[in-house]
Amino acid sequence: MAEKSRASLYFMFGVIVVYVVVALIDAEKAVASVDFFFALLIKIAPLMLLIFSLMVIANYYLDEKIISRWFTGRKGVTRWLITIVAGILSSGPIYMWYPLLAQLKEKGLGYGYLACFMYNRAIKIPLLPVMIAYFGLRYVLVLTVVMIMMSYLQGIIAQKLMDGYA
Amino acid sequence: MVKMKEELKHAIVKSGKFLWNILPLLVATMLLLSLVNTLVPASFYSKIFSSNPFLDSFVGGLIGSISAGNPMVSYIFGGELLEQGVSLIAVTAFIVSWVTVGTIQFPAEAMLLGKRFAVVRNILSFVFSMITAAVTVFIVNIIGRL
Repeated sequence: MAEKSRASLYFMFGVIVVYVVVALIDAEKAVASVDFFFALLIKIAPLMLLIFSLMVIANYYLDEKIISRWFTGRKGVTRWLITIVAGILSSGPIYMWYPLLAQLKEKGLGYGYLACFMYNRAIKIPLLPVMIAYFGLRYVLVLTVVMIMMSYLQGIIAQKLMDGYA
Repeated sequence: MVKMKEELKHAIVKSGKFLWNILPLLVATMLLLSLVNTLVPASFYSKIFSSNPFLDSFVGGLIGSISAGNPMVSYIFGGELLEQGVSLIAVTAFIVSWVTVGTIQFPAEAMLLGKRFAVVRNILSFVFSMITAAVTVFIVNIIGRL
């Protein structure tokens, strides 16, 4: 974890350097980016609380045995359905979910399910009305069904490609 | 009861530590997303499509992959691209890859979920954005003819 923290700090430093370079070239763009960042931060803060709560619940209630029962039991279809529904219902940017997904991975959730969950995050129920307004109901319905099927296929392929990797 | 409280405290501390450790990564990712969002103008997206649906779906998937931000923005861009004559297959690949491929978030994904997984997942998501686009447009056209 210490190595990861150090890498995170290097990444942060790299991004700050990029900002400095952009500011030297076009200060207005850099300021606009910082404004956008703070707007994003305000939007995301409540979500952080939600993620933290879910992580506490996961750490409190979930252990390897329960996860095994949910995701590696015999009921394969149910397991995939849980993953698909969880992916669709999850909200906010994907990077906010990485910590929880990393913990679930440590508790034994397979890579295929992680990939399936992440693909289904592309289906945004609160944004469907906007999408329908632009592309029509028929298109949105077809796309949603196709994406759910593709998420399952992607999960299967990802699992095969990741077999043998912890 | 005491054991439950201790377990809850342990869960809170563990979760808090985990989030604290990845905070620089989250902040850096958000800063990078903000920069891309500001530097890439909307007009950029409409200039780079041809009239070949297969090539366009590839280009659409590619642009969606390197773009970031609220998916609603991709719907608005997608709607505008459609109005400018860009094919539905290209626009579909664009809006699907926008959310499923995370090029900018890749460092965070690789660090927390593993580099190999991040590579595999993102490549698959890119390929699947084109397949999803082709299948969706095919079905929509079939239904439209009924």
